[in-house]
Amino acid sequence: MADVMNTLHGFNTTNLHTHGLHVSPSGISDNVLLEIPPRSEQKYEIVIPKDHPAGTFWYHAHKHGSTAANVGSGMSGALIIEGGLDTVPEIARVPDRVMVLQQIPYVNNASKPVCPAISKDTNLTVGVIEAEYADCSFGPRTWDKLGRYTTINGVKLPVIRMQPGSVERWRLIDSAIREVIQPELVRVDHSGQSAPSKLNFHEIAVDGLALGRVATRSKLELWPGYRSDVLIQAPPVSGVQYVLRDARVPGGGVIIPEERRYLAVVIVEGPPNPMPLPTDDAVRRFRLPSIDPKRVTARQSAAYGIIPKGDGVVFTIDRQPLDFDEARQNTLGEVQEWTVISRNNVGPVSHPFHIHVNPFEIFSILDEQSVEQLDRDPKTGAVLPVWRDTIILNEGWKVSFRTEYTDFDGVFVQHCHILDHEDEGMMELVEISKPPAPMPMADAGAMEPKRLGSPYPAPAWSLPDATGKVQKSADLLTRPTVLFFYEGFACLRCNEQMTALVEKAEAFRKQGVQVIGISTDSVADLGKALDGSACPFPLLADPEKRVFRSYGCYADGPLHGLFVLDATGRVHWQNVSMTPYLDVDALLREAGQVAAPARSGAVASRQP
Amino acid sequence: MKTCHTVLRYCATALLLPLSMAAQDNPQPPVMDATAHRQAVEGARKRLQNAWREFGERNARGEMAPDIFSLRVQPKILTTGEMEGLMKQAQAATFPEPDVVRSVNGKLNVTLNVFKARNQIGSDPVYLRSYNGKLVGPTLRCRPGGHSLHHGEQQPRSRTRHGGCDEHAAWV
Ligand SMILES: [Cu+2]
Repeated sequence: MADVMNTLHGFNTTNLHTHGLHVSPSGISDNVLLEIPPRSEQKYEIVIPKDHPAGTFWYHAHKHGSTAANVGSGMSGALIIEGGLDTVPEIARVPDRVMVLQQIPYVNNASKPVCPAISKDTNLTVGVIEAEYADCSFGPRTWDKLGRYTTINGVKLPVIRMQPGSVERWRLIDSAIREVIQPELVRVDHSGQSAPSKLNFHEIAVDGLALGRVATRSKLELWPGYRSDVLIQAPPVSGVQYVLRDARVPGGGVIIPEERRYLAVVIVEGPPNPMPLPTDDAVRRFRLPSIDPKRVTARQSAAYGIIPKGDGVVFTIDRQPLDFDEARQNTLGEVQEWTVISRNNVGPVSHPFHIHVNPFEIFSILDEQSVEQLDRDPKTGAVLPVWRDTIILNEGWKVSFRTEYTDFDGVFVQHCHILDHEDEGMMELVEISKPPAPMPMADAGAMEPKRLGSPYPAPAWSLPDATGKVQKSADLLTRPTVLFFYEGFACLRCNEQMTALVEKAEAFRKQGVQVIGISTDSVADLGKALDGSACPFPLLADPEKRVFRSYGCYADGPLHGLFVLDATGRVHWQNVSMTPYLDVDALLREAGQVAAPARSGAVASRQP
Repeated sequence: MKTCHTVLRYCATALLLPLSMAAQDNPQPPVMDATAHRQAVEGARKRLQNAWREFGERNARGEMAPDIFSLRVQPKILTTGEMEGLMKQAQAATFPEPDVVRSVNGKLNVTLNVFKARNQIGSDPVYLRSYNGKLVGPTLRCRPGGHSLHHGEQQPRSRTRHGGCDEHAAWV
């Protein structure tokens, strides 16, 4: 295994992420591409916009390869922006508890039966989390095999004492790294007092973002990365006890002993102190406004999946493990609609999707039977969209959301919040670029072909060809290239251009110039170009038009683009327009000029 | 997000949140030499990959279905003895809040030192990478504040350097 990048590695190198904050991902702000090696220091300055939503956010380590090990060891904490819901009188007056839920998968001598790396002469009197025991701390079913207890703020089974009738606000932060936690508040005392067998959670915010209502639930579902702000109201009698209990149902024949399910004890005692809960009306104005679907300008999709490879598996987004040379391209100002799913080839797996910097408004969660899973308005039955920054993707389900890129450009990530999945490759760079200065397509069609004074590096890509094989720009753009973007096989004008290029294919080849076409067609449709006759140069599929966008060949729809690149992948000449460029002889001359120095260089390099 | 700007106007001013992080490895007596360690790590990676392959195979055989027993089991009322046992399990008789660091006049300074530290989870001693030696990092509480950039702040133990971040420069 030569490539360690997408493995659990480098546990002593760390960095910092402010999860859920809408702040810059660049420089020394919320930049998870920074690395802090041992015995070094990194300063961060994170400027929180003055209109940032108030709420329960959190920070944690996020260095690719050590995220699970660091966060799993307890390297996380609450980050609270005060205001907002805090100002509602029924919330302002009640105790405010931070509850960082943790599942710390340490290995010690007692782990010997389940951890083959602990040999007979290993002596682990203290619990550790180290790379040599990575298979015992991180992996399918390891949490239950180790048999550890969930902790809150670093403590096993804390005790909460409430007066009868009183209300508390709990800021639950799920800092666990792999398993879901499904808290319920169940009564365990046998006092015979008249009190309910379960207490409700009155949820006012998820992922720090106000729901705009008080959602009363008997059970919560907290996936790694989730937050839930809930109000808890003690029953009006003294002398009763509840436990905060994890109702998770494991798979694969695992049985969780009852005491391992207990997260905290709630003792109701002392004189009554009745407090009211807020009404929906009192909290409504704190919800972020909805994004009007009519404003959507771009669409994205992402499929999270574990795929068998060789003797093991790879952790992927859109079937690719993390590649630091590739980034999903977006433009500042876009209003996007995303569809995200989990599709695995190792059986059903759920992945908590998280994206940095910009929260999203989920407007649909369809289960495998296409049944809507979002909350509904109890009166009207209408589906209630919800703002979040992390959402579980169950196998076969489909999550749809809208998001808006208003103010921060830069590079950040989307990833699975099962943190060993993330460390092993289930992460993707996401780039938001400033919109290009008035671009050719502004007055589409009028743009003259242009030889550039200063060549610029062509954006990178990896796209499937007609056989489905993924071709990478890093591999292909190593000689002079004519890159053309065409709409698809069904476009007559595209076919006209392509026919003209095919006629001159040999002339390009003689000049040492390769021709590559990129289309909005799917892989299956690529072969339908030229009425199905063979194309002498590779055609690549970009149905999501991500590469079209990154080359500026997009304005309310795909545009025709033609680029001449040198052997180092720099653009020397370009034409982007509503209509395809047809003067192939002129193109041949431009390409020949770009190729000339490369050819002489190639000759020169052959001489010893 | 344009959408936030209109709703949440109560934040009076930008907040600055400078964080200084210092990573250090707390040298432990070497348990193995470098080669043995590398081999051990590679062994763990292989076993982890095998575990996933096995996971796929068990799924294919239909062995990973949700546990029926867990679906049926309901929490139970505890006897006095069981309740006492439960309270003995409780590591803290009260509720422990993490340390708290608050913003002052719109700025929050905190140093997170990263090192391996000894702590206790239940009755188990652990030796884990940590923020400031604890099992949970400090709670950072940011409150919108006044214009304070030029007000000196007491930060005796912070390594953070002031200056260089003008709250009005880039964000407003
Ligand atoms: Cu995952």
